[in-house]
Amino acid sequence: MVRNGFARSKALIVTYSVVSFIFYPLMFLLGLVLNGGQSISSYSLIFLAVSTPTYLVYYPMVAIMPLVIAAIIWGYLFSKPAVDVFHAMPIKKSKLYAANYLAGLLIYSIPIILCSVLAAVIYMLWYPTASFADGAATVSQAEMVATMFKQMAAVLYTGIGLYSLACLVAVSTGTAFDFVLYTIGLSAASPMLLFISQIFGEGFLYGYYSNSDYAEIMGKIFPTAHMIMALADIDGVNWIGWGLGYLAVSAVLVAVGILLYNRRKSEHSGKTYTGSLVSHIVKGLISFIMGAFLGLSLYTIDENLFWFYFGLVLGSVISYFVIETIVSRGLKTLPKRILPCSIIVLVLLIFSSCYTMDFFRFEKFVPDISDISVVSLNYKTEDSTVSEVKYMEPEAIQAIVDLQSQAVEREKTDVFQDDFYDPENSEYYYYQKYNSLFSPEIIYTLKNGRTVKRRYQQKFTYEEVANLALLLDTESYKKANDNFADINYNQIASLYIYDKTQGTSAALNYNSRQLCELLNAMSEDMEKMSFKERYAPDKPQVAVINLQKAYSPDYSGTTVASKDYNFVVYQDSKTYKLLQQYTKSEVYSVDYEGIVSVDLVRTDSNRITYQESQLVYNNVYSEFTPNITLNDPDLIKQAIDSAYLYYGKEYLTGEENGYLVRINYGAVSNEDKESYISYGEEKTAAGESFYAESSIKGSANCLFIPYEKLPQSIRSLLK
Amino acid sequence: MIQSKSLTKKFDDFTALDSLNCHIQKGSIYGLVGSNGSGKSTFLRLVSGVYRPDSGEITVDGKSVYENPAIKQKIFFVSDEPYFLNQATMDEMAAFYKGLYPTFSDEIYRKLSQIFPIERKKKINTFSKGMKRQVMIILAFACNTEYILLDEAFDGLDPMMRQLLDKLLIEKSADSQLTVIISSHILRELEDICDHIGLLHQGRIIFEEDIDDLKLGITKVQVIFGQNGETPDLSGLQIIKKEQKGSLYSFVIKGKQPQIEEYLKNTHPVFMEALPLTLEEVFLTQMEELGYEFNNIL
Repeated sequence: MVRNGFARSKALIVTYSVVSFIFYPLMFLLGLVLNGGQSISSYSLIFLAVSTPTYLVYYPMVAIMPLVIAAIIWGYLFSKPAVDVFHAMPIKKSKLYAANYLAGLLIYSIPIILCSVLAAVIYMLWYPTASFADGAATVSQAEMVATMFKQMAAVLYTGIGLYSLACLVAVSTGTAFDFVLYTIGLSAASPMLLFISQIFGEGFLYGYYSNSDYAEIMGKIFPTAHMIMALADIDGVNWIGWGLGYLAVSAVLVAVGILLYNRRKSEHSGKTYTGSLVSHIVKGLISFIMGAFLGLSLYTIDENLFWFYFGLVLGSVISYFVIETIVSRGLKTLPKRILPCSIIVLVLLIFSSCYTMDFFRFEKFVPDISDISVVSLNYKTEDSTVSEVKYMEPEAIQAIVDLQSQAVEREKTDVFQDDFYDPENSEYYYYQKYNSLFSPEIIYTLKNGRTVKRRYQQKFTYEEVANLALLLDTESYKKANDNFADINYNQIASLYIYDKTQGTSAALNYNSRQLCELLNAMSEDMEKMSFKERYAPDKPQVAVINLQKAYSPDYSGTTVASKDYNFVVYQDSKTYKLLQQYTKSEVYSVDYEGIVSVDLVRTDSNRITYQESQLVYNNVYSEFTPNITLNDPDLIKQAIDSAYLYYGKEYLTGEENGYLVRINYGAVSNEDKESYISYGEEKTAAGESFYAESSIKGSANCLFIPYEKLPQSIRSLLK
Repeated sequence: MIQSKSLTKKFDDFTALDSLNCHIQKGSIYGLVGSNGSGKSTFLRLVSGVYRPDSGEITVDGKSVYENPAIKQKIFFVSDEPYFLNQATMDEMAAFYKGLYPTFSDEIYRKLSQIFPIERKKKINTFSKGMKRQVMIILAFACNTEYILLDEAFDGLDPMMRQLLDKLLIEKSADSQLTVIISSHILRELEDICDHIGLLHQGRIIFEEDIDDLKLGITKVQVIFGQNGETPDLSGLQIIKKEQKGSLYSFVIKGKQPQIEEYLKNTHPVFMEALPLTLEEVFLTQMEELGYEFNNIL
């Protein structure tokens, strides 16, 4: 019977094989020839896409071939005369299913495998000793060929998954139209359900949040999308894990398919029938989507659960019966479907209630500290996200657990009730008790391997946020953010030094010995510094070193910077001594002559301004009228020399009482000028502007003079 | 032997077969007669294992057919709409069936291929309806099974091919105890070939009999009576049907021919002759006896 499967698919096998050969190994060879013999470092099927018309033909073909093969192998089920022959044959249905399945599987897989092997052989013959040493990494020919086969594996397991599903659907339907409709519907089912689960979670569960992981998972459980993702970046996909998963699911689908085929009635061939399990599932899914959509839409009116349930039931019932009418080509079957529709609606109600009623106690759950292995606290500032820090220190874990406990207690708290607007001050002044910009994501990894994720918005006061500063002095934080000890001198993609205002900069062109010394000095200095000393010190700094660590070279041979480090240099540091030895001070000294004026903007704990966050100083730079503008060069120099560099947005301020220093360099770009004018004031004079580019855009640092450090000459000018 | 007990098959709300009971002897050629939609094809599909009964049972040689490859190997079903693999030739179809039926005989296949005017290496989808049916018949015989089920077997065959098929069936049945079920709605097609007949009506077999026995019990006689054409007393006869054209009377009488002739001789007819009954006439009398209107059934 397997041979019979081949015989029935003769034309398809020939076409598929020929097209695969032309648009894969042959086109690959053509691409190599046309490449002029230059080394290609980026073999993959993507290379084929870039260099040849393969992407127009091979990818779409390989993506839909599982459906086409299933349609041809099982096509007899859609024809009454054909079914008479096949089901009268002296062969059990389970055996017939297995034989047909195997035939289709081989038809799909063999051309892919043969073409991949051929392409690999071509590659190895073309580049017998290929390796790409560019920068820090070497990619061998073996690795390139391995990538080729990993992608082949991804194409195979996703295709097999889709094929297994298509076979199951084929034995449950009576016409080719229903087969296509239900296969597409079912293959999109799991990502759609995951998507709706996320929407429900976001809508009903306090503390729930979805992130890009879910979108990635949704893509990966949809076979066609997974195939494309794997072709684009196989190393970004855990292909072994996903491959085993897909194969396991395929095995289950085959088992279920055999069961359904055994129960399938021959008289259903050639006509649509809506009583199969597959039909019920697809109708249920579509009804759920429509019901959920209507329910959520009505819920947004006044967040009343009644409207949600009303919309859910109404939407799902109407959708169900509309689909039934369309698929069964009439109203005759509707009375019979009242019971299945009722069951589906009941299932939807139970599913939805798991979210609306928090059946699984999601909202109140705070893990016990003794169960926690490690915890991350990710929070967004205006331009950056502090993340990828896993805290293991008990005090850090305790602080984060306390933070979550506070949020859980405040679920129903009206966070705006204590806010007030101070009209005596500028219109921008609005007092907020709760920090509106602080929205931490808490990710616990428990000792039992389970991960617990939560996110809360505007549930923490400024003081509570400030108390988290202790996290920044932990070893975990240091290790994650400023660990120069792990960097080798040959991993440095770029090295620059800036003056403390970042007005001037220059590359540090050190040799390997000097780089090693510099890295050691920075590590030693960093080890001794607390977070506050690094980012919000009480002594002036000299310069900022910016280092970019190189990532492994990609297959094009270029080096890509992976991580950006900024290191603030103090006068009493080892790093400064090294700089004095190897670099002239002019390179990193402040160019006072280039500064037109300096604005001082007052800030203190009693003046929490609109949109101000204690994490962010940039807005203060650009939005507020300065308390004083200094034009005198001496005063400018005094101000800058007195100022401390607060580097990075991660710093959580306490009660700084002093003046932010805003430096104006001169002419501003048109874009910045537009930004300035939008605030309602036009202060341009010929050739002058009042905002430095970096100030408007928001640089990674700020200059700050504590009130007590303000030079007397400047203090006397202030009212 | 094929037997069904209370066999029922429904399609949605429609009952195609309703507690059907039948008994088909091994080695017989059984004609299944019924109007369009009476359930003939459904019955054959149940016997061949294509359909599963909703209730009751259908057995072949005492065993259930459905999902029973051992029994199905004994049965070859020729549907009213023949199906062939895409772009296949007769040789390819023969290879297909050879792989499924261990009793397939290359010798029979070759022999029949010579008798029927069919090109073995030509694609079947280029054949006419009648030629396609011939292909199925060749393959059916070549599979050499114990049972052949023919649904509307004569449809599309020219008279010569019909005769050939009749001959083949009779010979094979006599030689190797082949059991054949032929379904048709045309009695005349079955008259010369079947030895048993069953009438299917509204999902049930209302009438099932050996044809010879059927004919033996009924006599058709044409008579011209003397004595000025007056009809004598015929109360001693079970007259089923009576027709008169002038002085010529035609009677269909229940009973054996010799006794009926003897009785009529005593009335001193001017002319008397016993005539053979057609299957249709036999059926007609039987139906009327059972209280059915014949024209409503066939």
